[in-house]
Amino acid sequence: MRPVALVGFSHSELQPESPLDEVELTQQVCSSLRDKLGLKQQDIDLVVSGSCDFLSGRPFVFISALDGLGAVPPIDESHVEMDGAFALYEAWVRLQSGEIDCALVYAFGRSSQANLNRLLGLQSDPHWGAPLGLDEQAIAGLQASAAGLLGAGLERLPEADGAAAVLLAAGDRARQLCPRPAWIRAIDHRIDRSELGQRNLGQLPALERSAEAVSLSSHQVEYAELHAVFTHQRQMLKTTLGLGDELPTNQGKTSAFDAFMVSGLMHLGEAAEAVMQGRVKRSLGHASAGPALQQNLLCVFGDSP
Amino acid sequence: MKRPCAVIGVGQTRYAAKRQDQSFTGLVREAALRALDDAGLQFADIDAVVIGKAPDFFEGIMMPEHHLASALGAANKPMIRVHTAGSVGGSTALYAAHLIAAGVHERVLCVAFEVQSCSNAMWALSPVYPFQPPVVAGAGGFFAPLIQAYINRSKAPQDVGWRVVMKDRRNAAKNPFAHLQGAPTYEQMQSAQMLWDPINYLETCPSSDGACALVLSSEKAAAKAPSPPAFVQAMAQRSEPIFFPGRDAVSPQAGKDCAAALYRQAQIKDPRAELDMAEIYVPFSWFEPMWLENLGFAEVDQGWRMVLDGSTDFGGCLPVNVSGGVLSSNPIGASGMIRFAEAALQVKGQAGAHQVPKARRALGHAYGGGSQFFAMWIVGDTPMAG
Repeated sequence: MRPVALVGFSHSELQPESPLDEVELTQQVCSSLRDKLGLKQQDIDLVVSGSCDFLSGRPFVFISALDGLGAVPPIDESHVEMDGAFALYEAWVRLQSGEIDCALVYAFGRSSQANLNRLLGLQSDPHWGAPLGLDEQAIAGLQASAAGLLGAGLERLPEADGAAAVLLAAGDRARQLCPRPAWIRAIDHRIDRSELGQRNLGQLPALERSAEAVSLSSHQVEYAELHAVFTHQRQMLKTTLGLGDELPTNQGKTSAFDAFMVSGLMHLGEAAEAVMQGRVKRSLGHASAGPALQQNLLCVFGDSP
Repeated sequence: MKRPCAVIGVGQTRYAAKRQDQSFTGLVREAALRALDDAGLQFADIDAVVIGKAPDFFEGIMMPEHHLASALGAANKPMIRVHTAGSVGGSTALYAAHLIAAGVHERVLCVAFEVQSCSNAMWALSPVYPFQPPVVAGAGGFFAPLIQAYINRSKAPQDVGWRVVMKDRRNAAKNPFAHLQGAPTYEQMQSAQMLWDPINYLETCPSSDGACALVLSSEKAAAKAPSPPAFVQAMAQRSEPIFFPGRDAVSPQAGKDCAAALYRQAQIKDPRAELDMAEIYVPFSWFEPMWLENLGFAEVDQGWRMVLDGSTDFGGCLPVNVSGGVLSSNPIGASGMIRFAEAALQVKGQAGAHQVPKARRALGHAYGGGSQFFAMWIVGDTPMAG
């Protein structure tokens, strides 16, 4: 694959209720990232973003976010209704084609506008799951119970509003932009089956496959950023990925909050920063989505391609 | 590094106001199974699934891909959910094509759908913004002033829009999947009820339930396909903000830039002469002449002449929307992919009664938001040389 690196990361303050709207959050993180790297919007070949309409209760929230980006003249752009980590994946795919050299990825989420516990219940199947009134807590409880981790009860991170942006660049462009690029040595994401009743909720088979696909055990990562809203989920991730208790994990600011749609991208950004700042040679970034950790993304960063 | 990508399977559902015979899960799966069948493949042969749809409010299920993973055979595979407003069907196909072109996967299934009978699109598309008066009633409310501006500046006669509808609905009669069957007469067009002046009821796309799916593959995998592949010769997407000073919302710069990038990749100098047909996203009649100009098929303010002289008719020099287009079937999230799929079907020679003879190169076009998101591809019966 073509060598591609994360060369810059910027995020807003994470707070229970941000005074900034979606456009202002986008403007803040994208312009601070561009300023940090000395780039203008016109220097960037591609923009990919992630956000969720349901949080704001209106369609196409990402349309107005373009106002915060400054998309004049027009830009090559796409949007996923997923955590920004998955937008990063799209940018990585596009960079592989060799036609573009750098891509801006951003995500925003203001869950203070919504009842997240109830909203996340609307992700489950509309025929059998949602009518039961399953909400996020109930689904998390089922999983904790299946994993034998319910003992202490459910422990959840506080919700926060926020936004984040990263810049990916390929080859020499990455070296120009950053003295120590965090090279993406492997990246993979997969989804588990849909029906809660047909999954063994105590296991994460799709994540196991991703760990194999990125040859996780061969990279000797020295640091990991794991995306889990509940404490028992973090334990499940560690077990599934075979990460020992001695491995430093989640020392970044992201881990104190659940910034829905943004946290996954922030965990990747924090893992990359550990490499960019020279703290470690190899790090692992992880993002998750969907009911009961249904969907997971793994990204291994290194100080060389 | 960029390698050829081929369309080896196309699947569509029948489009209807209410598909009460299928759950929304079943509807999406129906399109996917047909695409796989066309490609001679099964879910197990697929490396990744890309799914697209317009706002989740239409069905009231947030991020429905989490529920659809099993029905689309995506378990343990990568699954991606795209949302770029009305252009999403096109953007979804482009994402899948990039996965192949980048060498990440060999065979990718992409699906786009909408079940509009679950909700009322008119009001779902009338968002109320804080501190702003609610002035827009539905998509037509936004686009009507743009159409009026086009009529004013091009001095086009009133019946151009009516003739677009009559043509598309005549074409739809040859497409068994089309939602609206039966072409209106000139008199019916003339006397149709006004909805958003100057757009009358018959000049408006329907609200449909339906899904469309494509199987895309590498050239190597395409060699084993049971039917001739359609090769993606060019692909591009461009976006611009909905409002900014000096914006030409009738013929947006993003659309022009997108088309220019496309023609550059496909080495096309005269699109009207070098393309054999086009499937263009026309949700309201007048967008046919407007997009003909934006896409470079006609000079500025002259697109309507191609409608009146029959150039875009089934037997014309540039047949447009021979499938019946968005004016005949509109499951919003899928409508862009249907354009891309119909272009591929033409090149594959599988368009049945609406097959354009000797179609070797075709354009698929989608747009969304306030005429601000564009996604396009050109498919041909051979990979591009070089």
